Parts: sequence; C-alpha cells; structure tokens
Amino acid sequence: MDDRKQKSYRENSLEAVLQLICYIALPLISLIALTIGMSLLTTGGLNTDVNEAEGFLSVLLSFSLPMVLALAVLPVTVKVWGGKCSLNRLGFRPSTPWWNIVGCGAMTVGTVVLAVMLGNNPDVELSAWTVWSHFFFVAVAEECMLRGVVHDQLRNFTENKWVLCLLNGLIFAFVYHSNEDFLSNLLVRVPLGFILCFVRVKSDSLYPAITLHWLYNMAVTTI
Amino acid sequence: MKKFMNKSLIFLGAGVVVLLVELLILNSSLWQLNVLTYLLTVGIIPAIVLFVSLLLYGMTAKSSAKLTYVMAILLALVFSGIMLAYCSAVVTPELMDTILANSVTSENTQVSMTTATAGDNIQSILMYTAFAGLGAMVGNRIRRKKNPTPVATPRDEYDNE
Repeated sequence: MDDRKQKSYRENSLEAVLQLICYIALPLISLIALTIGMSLLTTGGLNTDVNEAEGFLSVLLSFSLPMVLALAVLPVTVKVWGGKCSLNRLGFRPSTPWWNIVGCGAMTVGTVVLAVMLGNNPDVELSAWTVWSHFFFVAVAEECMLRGVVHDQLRNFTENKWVLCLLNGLIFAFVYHSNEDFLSNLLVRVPLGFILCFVRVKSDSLYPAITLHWLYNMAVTTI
Repeated sequence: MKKFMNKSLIFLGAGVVVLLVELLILNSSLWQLNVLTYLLTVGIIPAIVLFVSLLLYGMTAKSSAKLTYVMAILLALVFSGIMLAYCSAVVTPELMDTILANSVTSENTQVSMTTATAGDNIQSILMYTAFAGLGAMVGNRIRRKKNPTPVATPRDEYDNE
C-alpha cells in the first residue's frame, strides 16, 4: 500500500469510527428529546417511566412512537439516503425463505400466549395488550438500530461474524442498557445481543431477530 | 509541529472558553433550574458549543482530515472531563431535590430521577464524541467542497511508485 492510500485508509477508518459513534449516540439523544417532548405534549407533565403511564394511547404516544421514530425511522433514513445503503443490506428483505416466515409466525404466536398469561396476572398495572404492543415497537426500534444500522456500520471494520456479534452484544448491553447494573448486562444482555445478532447474520434478515427480541421481552415480563 | 499549530486551533480554545463561561453563568442560577433547563444547560448547550467549534475548525484547518478527527475526539474528552468534574463538584443531592421541586408544576405532575451510573458517563462521552465528530465531518466536507484537492498528474503517479 503506497503512502497516499495508507493515509486515506487511516482517515477513512477514523471517519468510520466517528460515524459509528454518531449512529449510536445521536438516536439516543433524539429518543430522550422525543420522549420528554411527547410526555409534555400528551400529559402536560414529565414522565420518562413507562410503568407510570396510564392507558394504551399514553404508552403509544409517549413511549412507543418516540422509540420507533428515534431508533428506527431516523437512523434508517439517514443510512439509506445519506449513507447510500440499500434496505436489503440493512436486513429489510422483501422475500424471506419459508423457514424464516414459519419461525417468525411461531414466535409471534408465543408472544400472544405470553400476553394471555400476563393478562391473568393481577399485579401488572398496564393491560397485557398494551405491554404486548409496546414490546413489539421496542423490538422493531432496537433491532432496526442495532442489528440494522449499527451492524452495517460495524461491517466497515470486520466481516468476521463472531467478532461482529460480540461487538453488537457489547454495544446492546453497555450503551443501550447502561442504566442497568454491570453484572446483569454482562451475564444477560451481552449473550442476548450476541444471539440476536447471530440470528440476524444467519437469516440475513431483521424479521427473525425482531420476533425473537419481542418474545424475549414478553417472556421476561410474564415469567 | 507547524502543521499542528495553526490559527484554526483558536476555535477549539474558544469552545473551551465558551463552555467555562457558560458554567460560570450557570453557577449563579443553578438553584432556579428545572429538569428541562438543567438538561439544556448541562447537556445540550455544551454539545452545541462543541459541534460549532469543530465545525469551524474543520472548515478552516489546513491539517489533514485525520488530524481533525483526532482533535474532535480529544476535545470531546476534554469537554466530558470538564462536565464530569463540574457535576461532581457542584451537583449535590440537595440541588437535585430543588431542581425536581422546581419541575413540579401541578399536583398531577410526577418527576423522578435516578442517580447516574458508570454507563451514563459512557453515554455522555459518546454524546460529546458524536457531536464533535459530526462537526468535524461536516467541516471537512465543506472545506473539501471549497478547496477540492488537485487531481493527481501523471507525474505524481510516477513519483509514488
């Protein structure tokens, strides 16, 4: 590699690191801003805790909508229009193999069963179907962000699927769930992020990872 | 060294000075803040100052893009360091209680906050690095558009071989 190429490579890799940090941090900031803004608009108060929300519409407008906008719509739009990246590359495949569809269908049925079980629990403040729909939006938002945009950005550094999955799991645990304690992040969320990324890589599609994430969230809340 | 010490560094120094002045002004009105103004003054304004500093630096620096990005990361770390030191020195539990009390506008409004964890510090460093990096990248693009790099002549190509 001659000097000019080496210099350009170093500049590009540093730019790719900064782009990765932008793709990780800026959607989080917009999520905070949108959650606060929507909470003020809909309730007149400041509520950033979903357990304190009252009713389906309040959860949808103050929590689900900001999440989808900040973590899915915004980064995917920037990546596709600004980063010249195709939706296929991000995992939004128009046609998926039959085993993907069957798997996604089975996991969706699993979430419905868990929602019915949750509905029978008198200790839960929100309605089971509010939790079910909110977790669907959470799974869509986080998967689009982490297994779509961040995963694609990480592919600038390595194509090794094990390293990709490990990095993705670390970002999922220690950046996106930074308010949780270190040990639970290390023992639960790093492996979960790793598995979700592995599913994304193996199926070459976002949909199985979305349904698996949805099923996991429902299972943790119900059981 | 000459390449490193150029006039554009003034913008980075000015960014730090603006941040310190903002914190000085903030000190006098800290007890009147509510949660929103606190987030604005401690989180958003420093990030915007950082973005503008790096944008101006990126637009005017004669150094390479790589050096601009290194400076962006360094200044982001300096800003995070200043903000962490400021918050740990000034923000006390009593102050947080007052800020929360100032935020409650009616009996129906509930405001709750949790203490920062190590992960929040990671997020603040990432946030500052993102704003600094974005400023540097946009600045570099503007500079490249204004002064496009000359197309390599065949002679240059031979020189590299």
